[in-house]
Amino acid sequence: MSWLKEIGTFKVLSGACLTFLALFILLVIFAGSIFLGPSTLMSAFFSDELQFAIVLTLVTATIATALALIVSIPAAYVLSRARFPGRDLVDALINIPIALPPVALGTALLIFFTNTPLGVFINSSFIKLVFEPPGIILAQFSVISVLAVRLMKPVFDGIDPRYEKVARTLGHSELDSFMRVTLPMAKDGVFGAAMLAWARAMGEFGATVTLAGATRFKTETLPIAMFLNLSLANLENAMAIILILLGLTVSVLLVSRKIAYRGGISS
Amino acid sequence: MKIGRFALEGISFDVADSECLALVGPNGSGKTTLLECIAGVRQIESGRIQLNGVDVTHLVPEKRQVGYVPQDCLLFPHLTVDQNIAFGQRRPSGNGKDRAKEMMEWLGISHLGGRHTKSLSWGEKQKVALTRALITRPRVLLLDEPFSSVDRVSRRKLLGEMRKSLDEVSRTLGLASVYVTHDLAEAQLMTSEVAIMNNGRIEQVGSWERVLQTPSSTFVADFMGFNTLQGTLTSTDDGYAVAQADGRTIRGVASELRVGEPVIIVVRPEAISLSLGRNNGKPHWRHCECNVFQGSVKGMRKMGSLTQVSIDVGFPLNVEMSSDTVDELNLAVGTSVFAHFRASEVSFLRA
Repeated sequence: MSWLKEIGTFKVLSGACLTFLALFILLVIFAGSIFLGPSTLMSAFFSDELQFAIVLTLVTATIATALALIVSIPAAYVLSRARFPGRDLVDALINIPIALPPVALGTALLIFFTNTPLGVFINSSFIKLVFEPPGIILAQFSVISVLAVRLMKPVFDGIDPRYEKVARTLGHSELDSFMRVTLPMAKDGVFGAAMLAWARAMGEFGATVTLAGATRFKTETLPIAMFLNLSLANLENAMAIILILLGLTVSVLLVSRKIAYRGGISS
Repeated sequence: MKIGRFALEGISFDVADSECLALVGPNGSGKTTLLECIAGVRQIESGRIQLNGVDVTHLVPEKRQVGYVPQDCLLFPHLTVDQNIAFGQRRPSGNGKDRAKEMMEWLGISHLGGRHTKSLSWGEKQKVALTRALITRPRVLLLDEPFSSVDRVSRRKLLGEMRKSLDEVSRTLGLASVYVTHDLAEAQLMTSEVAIMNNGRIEQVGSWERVLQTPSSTFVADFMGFNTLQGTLTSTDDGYAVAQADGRTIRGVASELRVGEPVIIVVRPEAISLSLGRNNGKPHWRHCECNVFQGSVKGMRKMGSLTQVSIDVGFPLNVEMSSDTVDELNLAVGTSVFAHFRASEVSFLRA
């Protein structure tokens, strides 16, 4: 057992734990796909239902991410730079959607749009959200926007505010300094945060199923399609969805990890 | 001026066109804060800021026409050298482009044009930052500790280059500049005037000669590294004043202080001469009113061509002299020496 002493018992035990976790995840995923067989999975993948779910998921997640970025970039910037009374309170409030289970967030949204005068007015006169596809975007937006703020704040924290001060003395307004100096300097971090938010939006289930419902060929995103297929014991489709989500998530995480390291986010 | 819990009080100084004023003081004295207030990048809660008699207190930084070279240069890392310089131009086309090119040629950095800022040496960064600040045609140039992050050896070379560039810029453009540093040697090399800050206030402002000859307060004397002693003024006659400190009589320049008043006696370390005999060997001092005290060397610290010698003559004195002279006198700890300093080099401050 001299090799054990040489490497160190703690390192060996830690390595064993890491190997166990990696094998466990691989076993669970690939055992299912091997059990079902590639031809079954391919036919499930090209089924109308899954094709619809893939397109809906990509479209809604992309729109939700774009909307989240429009709000989250300035919010993260203000939270990083500004010192104002009640800043800690605002910081804590922004964390609520992260701490809450997505189902609870979805329930709160559902109650707001069905039981409050303002919510009912928006839902009936402005845009139909409850049990409708726009509701998916809102549910995803609610979950990922605060996540994006959390991810981007450290990026802005890492950029010396004196760069903006210099830009101001060089004749540029506050907005211009932000757009031409801070944002380009933060672009790697912002892109990394956007990728992670996008991946999270694609996998969003709890808030989506509560607000937008689980209607086949209407509000059927990939996680909801998986839920519906599981409830019907359609294992082929459920497994195909798991593999699609896995492929998308792993790609996004690999890309965002690489970019985020450059931009100062630790994913 | 009030900024949060910090306040800048009674700040007022003049810098003539083509002149450079050094703003010196210990860390936390408010030098950078003052510079940022002048540049407009820090908001003040009360007070007023006037530039050339114009109230700019509520003017946004982009309208103040103040050139600002911050600590560490802060060149924009996502832009190349020429993009950094062109950043200061609202419309970088036509004449504007020519001006950027002209400025780069003038300051000898036209060869750096398309380079990435990360690949520049410190000296090159300084010149790019200076050019970028000048491209906006500022009325005042503010330089905030431009060499604070540079090692001592490189600093000496860079200071010379910067001084040359700054002199040329100031002379040609008739530009007034303010140079912040906490390094007195650097400030003396770069400027002809100095303002000494302490705790948000300017303690003294004037030419280096004047500040070195007659420091206005104990703080200024201590900050400059002068010898300070507590004593009492005993008499004044013939333009000289006499004070008693630790039982010793010291003659100095007469001041408005009254006989019997407690005073702080100030002597510059460079104004003291050491000799092994009572005669200090300086013929031009023969007819001067001179203070002579016998004592012994307590410690020595060599700093390149200069050596700081600590002696005890009944009270402690720091002497700064050339290392060659120290060698010639064969000084060592315990050596018996005579300390000489002219009365004209001694000033008295109210205690």
